[in-house]
Amino acid sequence: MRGLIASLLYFLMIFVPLAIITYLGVRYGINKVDDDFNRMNPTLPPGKLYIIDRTVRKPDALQPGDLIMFHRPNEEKIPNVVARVIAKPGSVVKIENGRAFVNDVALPDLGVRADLEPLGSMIVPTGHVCILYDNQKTGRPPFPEMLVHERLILGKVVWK
Amino acid sequence: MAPSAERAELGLLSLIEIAILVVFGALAALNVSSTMDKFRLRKHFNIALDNYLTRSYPDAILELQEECIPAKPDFTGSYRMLLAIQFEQLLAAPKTSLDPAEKVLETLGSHVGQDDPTYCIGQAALLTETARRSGTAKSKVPQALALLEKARKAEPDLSDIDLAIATNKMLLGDVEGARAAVDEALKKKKFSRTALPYLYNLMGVLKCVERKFGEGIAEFQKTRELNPGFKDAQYNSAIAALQGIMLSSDRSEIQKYIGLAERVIQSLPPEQAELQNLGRIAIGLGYTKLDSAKDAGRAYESARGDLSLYNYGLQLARESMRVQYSTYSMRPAAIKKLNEISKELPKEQELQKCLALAALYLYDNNLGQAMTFAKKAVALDESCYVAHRLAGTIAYKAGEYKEARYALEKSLQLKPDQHDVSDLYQTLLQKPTITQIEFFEVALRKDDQPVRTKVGRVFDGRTFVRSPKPVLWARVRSPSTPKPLVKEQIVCSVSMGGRELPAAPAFDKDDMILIVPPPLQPGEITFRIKVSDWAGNTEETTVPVVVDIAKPTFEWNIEKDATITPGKPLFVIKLFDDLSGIDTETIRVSYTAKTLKFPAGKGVDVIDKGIWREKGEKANKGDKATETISFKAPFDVDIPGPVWITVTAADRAGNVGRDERTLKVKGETKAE
Repeated sequence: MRGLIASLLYFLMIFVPLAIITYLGVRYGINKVDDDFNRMNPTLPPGKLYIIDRTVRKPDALQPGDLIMFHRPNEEKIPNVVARVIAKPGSVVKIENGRAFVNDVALPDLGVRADLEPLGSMIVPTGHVCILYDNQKTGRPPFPEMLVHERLILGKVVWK
Repeated sequence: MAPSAERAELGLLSLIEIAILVVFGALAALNVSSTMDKFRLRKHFNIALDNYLTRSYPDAILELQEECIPAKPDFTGSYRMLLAIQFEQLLAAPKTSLDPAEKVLETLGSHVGQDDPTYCIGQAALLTETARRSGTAKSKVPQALALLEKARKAEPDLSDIDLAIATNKMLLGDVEGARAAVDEALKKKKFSRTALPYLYNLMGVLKCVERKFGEGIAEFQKTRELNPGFKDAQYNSAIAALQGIMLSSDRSEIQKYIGLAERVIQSLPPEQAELQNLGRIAIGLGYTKLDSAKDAGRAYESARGDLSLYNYGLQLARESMRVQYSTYSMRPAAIKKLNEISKELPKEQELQKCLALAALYLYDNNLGQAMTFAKKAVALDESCYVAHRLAGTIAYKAGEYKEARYALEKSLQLKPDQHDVSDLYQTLLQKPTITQIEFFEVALRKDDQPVRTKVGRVFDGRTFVRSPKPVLWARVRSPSTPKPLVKEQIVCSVSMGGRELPAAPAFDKDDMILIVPPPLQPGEITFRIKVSDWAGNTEETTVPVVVDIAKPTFEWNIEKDATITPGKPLFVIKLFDDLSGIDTETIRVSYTAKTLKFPAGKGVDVIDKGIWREKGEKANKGDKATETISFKAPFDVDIPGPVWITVTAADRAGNVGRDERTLKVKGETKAE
């Protein structure tokens, strides 16, 4: 009997940590900002490590202000990057006088500000989030690139 | 228990166990198979989605057609993506065949039925595209709208459906309906990514309809940012910029639109060469408006081809009555080019050529040639409102107002919402006016200069004239045309007792006419004036007058040179005037004694005043009318010396009568 209990405990000691490690490994991922990617500097400078939660990928689960890691299918050099969610589906994004507005509310300063190229009022389509990089000295991407389909979202940044 | 019974029991248990295992096994197998199918579908759908997002449309189509649809034929997501790809490809290449989309819809319909919202939306999109290509909006678009309404009932929150409805309403020319549908779509804010370019393109079109071309171009720009291959947005941007140049009068606005037009036409593909030409001409026009002849010339020079001139001319014709262009150096070149076209053109192009030439000649003030081409255009197409409009404008400018009125009326019948034409037409319909009618007598002074004396008076709407030779003066105006009237357009007559008398009108100065009748007898006379203007409008007026040249007469209750007793005697005087009657306001009585003198009208207490009629006669106008006045002397008539009482009164025509009595007072003799 003792032998059976010892075996069970031994099994649990091995299996439970393994299960926890597997779960954490599946859910969270450690990533590093590419050395050539400075569009999120200083929020996430090149070389900085960060952790993403891979289970948070749907636009409904994200909030404006969240940092996400997403895939850029047309970029070969740095395909996966981090950006800040500024608007959810149905929101109206506009850039006027160098500042970004979402539903007519100016976005707070979260990174390096610069005069952004103007953008007429654009609606964020369903299944997409609208992103912007914190370091706006690097310029804003074209609007289609600012729209990230949920399929391309790899996870939400939970630690940096 | 016996061993045989135990064995039997064990065997039964084993059988039950085996059966349970088999059932579970089968269920597990089925579940695994179903889950595997789901995984397979999800995997391939995600591959297709990746390809769609990276615009690798052939790979996405292959994945959907080869893997997703066979794995789950009733999964509408696959068809939606396929249709989205088909229609996105149509944006970039509008002449692409619609067959693949039709096949997709056929397959979808066979699996999910024709009431499925995805099927309805797809079928409606197909009908809309067919209508756009074939110009059969009236027959196809209502069907598409019915399908979209059906889809909206199933998916009421989807903005894409409202947007499709707006597009279809726009095709039907229902701008307000389209605007309402776009507003509805914007309220819901649930657009697919594919629908966004359509949204901004449509919003741009609506802005241009409101003549907010700058805002419209900004919307088209958004469309281009979302989908650079959206050909319609590119075309619309160019048209908006050109319209902006054509219709703006503000210099900075024109400058802005020229910049936009230059950028837009540079980005136009080679197949839009016609639009490029039109754009260059419009840019030239813009520079002309900015008085920059050199830039204008360069822009005109860069325009090529003959067909562009038709469009340009047509554009000019359309705008000709809205915008007044100052100078235009391209005009002679355009006329020359159009006249050089010797080949026989199809009817539509020939019509455009005639319209262009008519408009160009009109601007050159060569009205004869302009009218020739306008008439030719009307003969080519009786239902072309622009041709009638041009013919009307040219005729108006040439002073052929009746012809202008007819042509403009025809143009408005064909297209009623031409406000500028309507304004001109309404002006042409205005009747002449005959006002300020007055009667004067003209006499010559010693130095032979004519002197006018007013001899007409108006009482209770009736005119009375106190001269046998009255001359009628009246102001005659024709607001319908700028051309002044001539005396042949004015017909006059004077009738007296049913007898017509000759009377010819003559212009005094500007728009004043005078009518001199022959000498008239006292009585009722009627003047008639009829004016016809150059646009064919007529106005007639009748002026009945009473000619009265007799003065009023008086009848006293005391004889002349009568002797009266001292005191305050009562005087009664009857005043007669047969034709016009007494103007009671003019009755004045004055006394003059040796020592006292009362000014006329003062100190007289008129105690009775009223119409007196012959016994038994009815009180009708024109009766033998009179006034009776009675009054007491305002003082005791017992002073020495004679007393003179004078009465003056005028009739309604203004003839003044006067009578007096010299009275003696009884006590006077004694006093003497």
